[in-house]
Amino acid sequence: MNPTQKLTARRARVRSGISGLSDWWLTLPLGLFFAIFVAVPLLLLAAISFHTDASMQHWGVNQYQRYFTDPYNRGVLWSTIGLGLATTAVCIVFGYPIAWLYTASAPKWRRVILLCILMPLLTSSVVRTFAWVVILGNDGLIDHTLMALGWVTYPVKLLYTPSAVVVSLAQIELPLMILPLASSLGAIDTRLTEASHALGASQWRTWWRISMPLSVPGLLSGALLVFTGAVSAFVVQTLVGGGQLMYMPFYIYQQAIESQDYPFAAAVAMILLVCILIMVTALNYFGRKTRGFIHG
Amino acid sequence: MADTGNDATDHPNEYPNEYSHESPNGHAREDAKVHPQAHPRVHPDKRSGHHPRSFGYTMAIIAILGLLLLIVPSVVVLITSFTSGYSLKFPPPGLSLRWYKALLFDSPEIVDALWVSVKVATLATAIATVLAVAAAVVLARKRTIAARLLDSFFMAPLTVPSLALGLGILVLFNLGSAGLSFYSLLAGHIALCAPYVLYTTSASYAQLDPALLDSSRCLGASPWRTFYRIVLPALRPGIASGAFIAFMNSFDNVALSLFLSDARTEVLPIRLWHIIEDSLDVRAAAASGILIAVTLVSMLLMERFANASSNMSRQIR
Amino acid sequence: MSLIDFERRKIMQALAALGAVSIGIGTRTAFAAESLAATTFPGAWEESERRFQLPAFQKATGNSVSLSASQAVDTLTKLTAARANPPFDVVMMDEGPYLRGVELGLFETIPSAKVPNLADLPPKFIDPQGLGAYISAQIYGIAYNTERIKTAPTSWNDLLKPEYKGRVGLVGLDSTLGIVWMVALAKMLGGDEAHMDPAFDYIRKLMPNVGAVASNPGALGTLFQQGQIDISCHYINNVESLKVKGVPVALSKPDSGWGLVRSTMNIVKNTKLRDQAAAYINTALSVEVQSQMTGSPYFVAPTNSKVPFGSALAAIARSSKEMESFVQVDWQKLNPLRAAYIDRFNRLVKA
Repeated sequence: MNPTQKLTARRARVRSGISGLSDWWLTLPLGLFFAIFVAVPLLLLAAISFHTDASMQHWGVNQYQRYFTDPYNRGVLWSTIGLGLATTAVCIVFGYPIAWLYTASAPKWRRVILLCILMPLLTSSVVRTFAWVVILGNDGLIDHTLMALGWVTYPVKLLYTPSAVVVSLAQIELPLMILPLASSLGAIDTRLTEASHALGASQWRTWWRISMPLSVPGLLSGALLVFTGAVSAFVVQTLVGGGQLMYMPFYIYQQAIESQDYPFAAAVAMILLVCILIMVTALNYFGRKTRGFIHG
Repeated sequence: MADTGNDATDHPNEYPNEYSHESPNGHAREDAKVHPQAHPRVHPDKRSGHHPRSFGYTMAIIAILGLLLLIVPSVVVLITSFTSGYSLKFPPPGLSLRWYKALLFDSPEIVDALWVSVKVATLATAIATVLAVAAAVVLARKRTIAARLLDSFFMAPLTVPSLALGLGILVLFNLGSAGLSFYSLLAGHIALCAPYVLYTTSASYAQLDPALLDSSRCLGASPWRTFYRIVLPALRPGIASGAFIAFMNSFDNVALSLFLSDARTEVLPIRLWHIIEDSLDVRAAAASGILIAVTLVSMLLMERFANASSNMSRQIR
Repeated sequence: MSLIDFERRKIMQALAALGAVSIGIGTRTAFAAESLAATTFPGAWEESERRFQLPAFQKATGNSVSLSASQAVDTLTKLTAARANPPFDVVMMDEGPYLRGVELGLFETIPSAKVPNLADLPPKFIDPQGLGAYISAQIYGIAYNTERIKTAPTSWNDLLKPEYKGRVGLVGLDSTLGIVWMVALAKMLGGDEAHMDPAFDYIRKLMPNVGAVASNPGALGTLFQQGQIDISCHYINNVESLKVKGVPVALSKPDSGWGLVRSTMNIVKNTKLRDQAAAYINTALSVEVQSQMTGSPYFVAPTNSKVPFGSALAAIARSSKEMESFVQVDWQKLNPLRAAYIDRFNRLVKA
């Protein structure tokens, strides 16, 4: 090869990595670790869920049958999915304005807003849940305020209701919705909105017709994060939901650790996983369809 | 061509409609009409009947409510931690430092749990960082299907509920008759931390100008030297923010720890949870107050030294 | 030296420091494993153990304990899950789970040579198989908020009154308190351990009054503390400990009688700290610890015959003989049916 060809070949090797094709070995440590501690456990779970009894002697789809033929179990599934959807909806309602405020603010204010968003994200979820127990309890902030204002004479039961779980989850997952939304909104070319205004559209119209459709990738990303987080939020569901509300995460824990029924627990875990996968696929599908909004 | 003085009819091809102000060949037009609704004095919003500021006001109000929703719980916990009474009334009957004192001097079990949490989080983050940076450097630029599949696989712990992962690893350890210990917990947490570091490091690496690598190689540097001197320093902000987020997530994780820890390795969130559920000890509020303060301080520190927020906002931007 | 080598040295130093720290941490973990892993029940039990038992054990043997709160049923499952390498060395059980544990072969014989205080137990409290030591007897009754409920309730049927709508507390059946209360209800209404339908009918009628369901007795106590519930069944030690915290709660006797629950301490099979576990049990049976437990605010009935019943406890019973007449549970009958009852209860109370 002449020097130019050598240079091109070397450049190609550099572009494809540090030392060329042979640097795939760098992924081996992580790959091996994940193979043992992520892939194998999940496969084990799937395998166990197809056993018919707790002592794991026989194979069969008995556990799934048992799950879906029982209205109690179906109820637990619907409550959990409903919780995820409700939390996502609340996060969208509050997330968009905050993301808009972030993008529309001066840099000085942006740092403050970012601090407000990141602080809850980085604070322990147990701490945040504890806060809601204090706020929603019969002796807590809201009931005290209501009684002080004279609107009620006896504390309203706020804690241990499904709405309480939705509100606390929404607060905990909200940062996960705001960050992708702010990212998407910030990435919209400002000339588009300027052009829209110049052409005579009101701010509302610009928002509905230009900004929101263009921010859909961020919306889908945020919705995925919030839904997944809400559906698996063990601590909040148990501390704020109380003993009368049963959701999938605690159900899995109860069946595995308290009743020692591993096949059933594994089946419930698999069902939860499948629901999340369905949501991921649906959101990815919408994501691909809406990519046309930007480039179309 | 006729020249009646009316540009529109005289030169119909040059002035497409009566409102055009300029013809394609640059002639300015003086008798162009002004569209009644395009009057510069009339605000665009007025046309649709909305108050010009309604959008801004509505969004700002909801946004501020949302920000309050984000902040108020932490503030409430901080205030409650200074209560002088035994229960968690809000507003508290009086203020005192007694619970902080009780926490610091009379709570060996909480301090032990804190120590376990810090150990697990530090080790898990460190090991996960090494593993993930190595993988990120390879996967960040490749577009092959194999690379993308591997990437999704490594991101799996972010979507898979950590309960399911915890249960799976528990079953794995039970089948291997290994029993639970500090190491079962550590394994789960490493799997949890790796995706965060991988994500931010890949993003950082993707922003690295390949010309830098090119020039380094062309100037004769070996691959390792290129890595140490060019790539690693450039990746430092990405690695740092990823490691920070991974650390906080590992510190905070309950689901994995519930399944994978044994009596001797109880982590702080689980200890706090037991305290909150079983005795509503106000020391939990004091512990929470300290955690909030530590988070705030470390965030401010990250701000000053790693300029984390502008990094994150740059990634957002 | 060139700049590059200098940086490389810094990286090497950092890695070395990290390695040293990890080794240090690892060693610390090894040392930490020396402490005895014990369980107790959540709530007032954990409180009292940390106040009396742990310091006494430290004084007697110089060793530390890592104590975790776990309900008897949960402890049982954790032991079954990891027999070869048990997570605990010495566990506290209620009678029912204890018998189940014996069936499963989870406990070791208690070496009576190492536990001299066993000799002080009256014959009723000695386990013929030698696998468990009865360390206490607990009493439960009707707990109620004295500020919000002016007249003391006298019967479990009082909980059904319409004025208590939304104010009654329940506790899950995987806790001993929950299941023994259900059995007491069944017995009051004409059933028994094998015929619990009357109790479940009672719960169905009670549902409109239920304000919250707690997962364990400790959580039930916090519901009183936070004013979420005003009346429920509860143990005397939890109620008294709440009183000390300023919560206006009291225990009253149901006309069907006080209920009695006995607790044991057991050495787990395959533990590596057998002698320490035996010493732990010895401490729990000692006159010192048991007299402290029988005093305020815990009022745990002692099993050591040398320990007199404290004055507050004397209001309820003066000796273990009197307690024999309290409502008790035939655990041999109940254990096989318990899982089904837990399931049925969970479905019934789901909002």
